[in-house]
This record gives sequence, C-alpha cells and structure tokens, in this order.
Amino acid sequence: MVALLKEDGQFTPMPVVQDTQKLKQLIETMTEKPTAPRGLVEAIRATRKEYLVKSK
Amino acid sequence: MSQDIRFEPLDGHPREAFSCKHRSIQHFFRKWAEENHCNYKQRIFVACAGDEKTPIGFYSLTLMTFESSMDEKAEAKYNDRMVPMIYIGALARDRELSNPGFGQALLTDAFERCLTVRENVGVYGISLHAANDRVAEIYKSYGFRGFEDGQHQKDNDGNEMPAMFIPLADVAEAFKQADSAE
Repeated sequence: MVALLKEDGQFTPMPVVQDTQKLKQLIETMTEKPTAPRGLVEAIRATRKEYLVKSK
Repeated sequence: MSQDIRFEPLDGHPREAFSCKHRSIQHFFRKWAEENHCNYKQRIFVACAGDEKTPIGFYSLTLMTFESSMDEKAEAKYNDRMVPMIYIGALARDRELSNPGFGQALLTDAFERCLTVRENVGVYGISLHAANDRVAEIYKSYGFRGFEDGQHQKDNDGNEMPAMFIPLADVAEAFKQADSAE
C-alpha cells in the first residue's frame, strides 16, 4: 500500500491493495467488540461545542 | 458562541490562496482537486466559515479494497476474502487559520460522511497515510491503528508516511457515546 498523493499533488488511485498481512490484520479486528476511542469522543464533543456545522 | 461552518462538495471554490504545511497536499488542492472531484476519482469536501466561499479546510474520500497477495505465501483461508474501505486521500486546514484544532472538525465531518456511506454501500473501515510519525500519533489518539507490517512509505523529503486504519464500527460507537452524554 503506497501513499497515493505524489509530491506534485497528483493523486494515483489504488482501488485494490493486495497485501495478505494487512488483510489479515483487518479481518482479525472484525471479531473485536466495537469500542469508542476516547480521543475521538472528546473530539466530536469539542467540535459540536465550538462549531455550528451544516454539512451537505 | 459557536462559529458557523459549512461542509459542502467542491464546486468552483477559490483555492489559489490555500496554504498548508504539506506541499503535496497544497498542490493537490490547488491544482488537481477539482478535476479529481468532477471525474469521481475522489470526492472532495470543503469547509467554509459563515457565508465565505474560500475554503479553510478540505478532505477527500475514495474507495479501496484489501485482498490477499498473489504469492504462494498467502494462507488459503484469506484467498477469497476482501475488505472494502474508504481511503482519506488528504485532510488539511489552512495554515493561516487561528484555531489549530480545526482538524478535528474536518475529521468529525469526514467520519459522519463515511458512516452514511457505510449504511448505503457497505464498507468496513477507513484507511489513510499519515503525513509523518507526529501526525500518526494524532490519528492514533482518535483511534486509528497502524498497519503492523512495518512498511512505511516515504515522501520525497524522506519523511515516513505510516499507513493506518480505523474500523467504522468504532467510529459509530464514538458518535453514539458522544450523543449519549449531550
């Protein structure tokens, strides 16, 4: 899996990544119980406190 | 008092003055973003303050599927497995912005959009390349995990660009928890 943004800003799409080790790691997380990352919960709350967001 | 922020698809927003720490991201946004957005190579979403048209930040999304390698080392049980993900191609705020914490507002909107995609298309998580190890630590604090293969892509300045991911189930759980306390 290579970085897709080149130095001149061009983006090279990589729709498929063939990498068993990464695939294995992703699949292993599928059996874990979902957990709310504390830092993310705080970031969501801080954003809602500081900004009135309209998204479309 | 809260500041009004609009997130919307890129649509002729002026980008010539946009400036950020990472040259490749700045070049991308100024030069290639509109073309990429219009031909659906990626979708670009900009953040604008109040009624302003000039973006103060943006992020880009595309899809990526992980599957096993073609070599003989691949364990048979992974041969037919594929994991679809959303890839964040870039996420950046303007460096002139007085609030350095605006990045988490960008990330929050990107995550909400990815959760909508997940309900409609079926994707497992989000992946990205952090611009360097310091940025990777920030993403880790939001729940991203580094891929464990130890391979780090380097940019032209020799900076490591760690590949990372987060399951969208964890993101959904975080929004649920954030909502429950409000």
